[in-house]
Amino acid sequence: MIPWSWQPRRTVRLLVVVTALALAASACAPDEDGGGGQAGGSVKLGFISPVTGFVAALGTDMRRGWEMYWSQNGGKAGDTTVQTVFEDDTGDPDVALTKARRLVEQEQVQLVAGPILANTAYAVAGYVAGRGLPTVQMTGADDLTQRKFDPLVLRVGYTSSQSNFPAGQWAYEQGHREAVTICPDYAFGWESCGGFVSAFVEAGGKITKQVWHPLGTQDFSTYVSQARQANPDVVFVGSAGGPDAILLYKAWTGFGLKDKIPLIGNCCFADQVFLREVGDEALDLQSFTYWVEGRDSPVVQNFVKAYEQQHKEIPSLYAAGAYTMAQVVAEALKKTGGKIEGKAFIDAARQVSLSDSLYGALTFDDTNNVVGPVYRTQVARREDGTLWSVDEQTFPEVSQFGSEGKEAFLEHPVFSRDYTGQ
Amino acid sequence: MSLDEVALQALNGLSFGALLFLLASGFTLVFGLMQIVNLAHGAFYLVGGYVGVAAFAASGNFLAAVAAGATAAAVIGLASERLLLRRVRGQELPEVLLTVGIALVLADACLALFGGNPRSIPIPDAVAGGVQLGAVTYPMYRLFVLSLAVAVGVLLYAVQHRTRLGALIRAGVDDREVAESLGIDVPRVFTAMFVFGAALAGLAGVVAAGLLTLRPGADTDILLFALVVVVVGGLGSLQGAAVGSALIGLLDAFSKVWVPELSSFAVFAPMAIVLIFRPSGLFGRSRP
Repeated sequence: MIPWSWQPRRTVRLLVVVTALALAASACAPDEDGGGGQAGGSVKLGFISPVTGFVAALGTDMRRGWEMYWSQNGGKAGDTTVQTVFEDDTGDPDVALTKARRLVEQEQVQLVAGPILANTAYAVAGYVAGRGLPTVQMTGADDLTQRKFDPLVLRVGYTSSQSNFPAGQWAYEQGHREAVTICPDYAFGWESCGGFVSAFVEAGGKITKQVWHPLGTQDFSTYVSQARQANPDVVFVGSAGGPDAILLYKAWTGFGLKDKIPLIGNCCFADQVFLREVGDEALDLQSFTYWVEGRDSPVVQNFVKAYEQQHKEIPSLYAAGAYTMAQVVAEALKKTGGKIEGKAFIDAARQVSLSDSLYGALTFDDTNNVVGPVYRTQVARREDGTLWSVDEQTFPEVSQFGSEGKEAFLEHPVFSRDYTGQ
Repeated sequence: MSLDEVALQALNGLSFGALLFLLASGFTLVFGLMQIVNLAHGAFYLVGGYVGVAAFAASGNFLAAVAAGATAAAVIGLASERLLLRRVRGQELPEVLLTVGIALVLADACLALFGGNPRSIPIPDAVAGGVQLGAVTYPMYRLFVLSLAVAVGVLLYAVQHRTRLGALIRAGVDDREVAESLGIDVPRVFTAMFVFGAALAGLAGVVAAGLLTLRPGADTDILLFALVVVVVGGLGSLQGAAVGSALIGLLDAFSKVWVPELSSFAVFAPMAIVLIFRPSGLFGRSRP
């Protein structure tokens, strides 16, 4: 046992030396870049996403989407050269905060984009905005642009509830009167369900059961059995995607419910990850979302083609989302002439209006959130046999405040397990 | 809650418990013989599952996937035991830490090789579809997993109590020194047992890939359940693993229906209670 007592010390010494060298190297780096003196100047952006850990797949797609935008545009926004420093938050808020600190204090980035999970995004956005720097986000957490609105934070994306207002309204119009919801038992699930439930109830429908399952549930049989027992007209699933979505749907079809009870999903339920694993059982499945890989628009199809060429798979919501974030940042940089100065930059970004982005026609409301289309989609087969989603119906200019309007909407508490708008 | 519903949820719980048993049985046997709390057991499950997925993609045959998954886990188990664990045999802390290290390395290797997206295996036609039980369609694959676990359990019990190999193992468990003095090559029995435990974990991984999905972190999630099963049942006891799996599976199912807010608590509370009143588990023997 005695040799152990000095070996660690040696390792520590080595670590100290290596760390010092790395720090020195990174401290030198900005000088090399800054000395270029390009005509239009340059900006340095920080990008945080989880490329390891339990949501590694999402974070990797985000990074790819972000990189693809800049590589397609020669790393420039107008005359401004854009450099990005990437960080991995592993899906952990503590790590995310540490990485945000590193980006701001050591790398001296001028803006931070990402991460994705609500808890990590709140940690990063709070810190970055607290330092007076602008940040762009794509997480769904409702309150980020509602009750916790900060003028330095812009969401290039939809709130968790936003895309589900049309789902509730549509379900009622289809003649469904009793619904069951199945959502994960944390903020994203509460808010996703809240969007559907509030619109469905407002239209006159009734929610007969709300099933909440823990995130990362291994076995969905008990939850699916409960939904079946309630025997509703329609089931709404507000999923965060990934394994939970696949497992839930496998249990659903396993119990023979596919042709018995209509099931509709939210943005993140029947995504590409889901379709690759579930296969033909997913055909005709309907969802309400904003990223539709099979939408018949040159913008979308060019992106899908380029992405598929490079990464051998159809881009996910996360790739498309980060790409769109980069696009909005680039458009804002063009407006400000390459300057990033706190609130002025976000104000410029809020004025960005895209006639056809990957999501469709986008504008921003006065609390820095997207106003844009929501699509009712259906899973279909592409010419080459791959499964993807195509749009069946468009609900234009959906706001984060639903049909209620800002003032009335903000009078409710944020959606939670106890309050889903009923 | 109607009787139908109770029966249905009981089946749900038992079939999930069956999967836990496939994992927990190897875990508990290795502990019983070698006193190693092998925290890499979940990683063996993950490796076996991923290799099974790859083998299925290549061959389209479920049995080939099962064979490949179990073999891959067995080979990694063999390497871990021979090259690493053997060096720290008998030193409790280094042993446990080493298994944690193996688990981390394997989990990261899986992420690098198979990516972060959830993966699964389509259910083979022979056990796909549903069985009509009264008014309810029940997935056949879940019943298959249940019968497989029962078969594996019976087989393990028979080997342990009816064969020479089983006698060797029991001798090694009861008194290592006397067994050695009788000429039994205990280290070899250890290796065999460890490899067998790993193969069982690999098998569980492939079977689980049809029922659940494999993803980064699935190893620790399922290992946690297996740990609870083994702690409740008694470390080292096969019967304990069987009873513990059924108990935890049922508790998991019914708590999700009756007290969904407390479903995690309902699974872990019995572990705490058992630890207080029977620290060696329901079927475990207290050791000197």
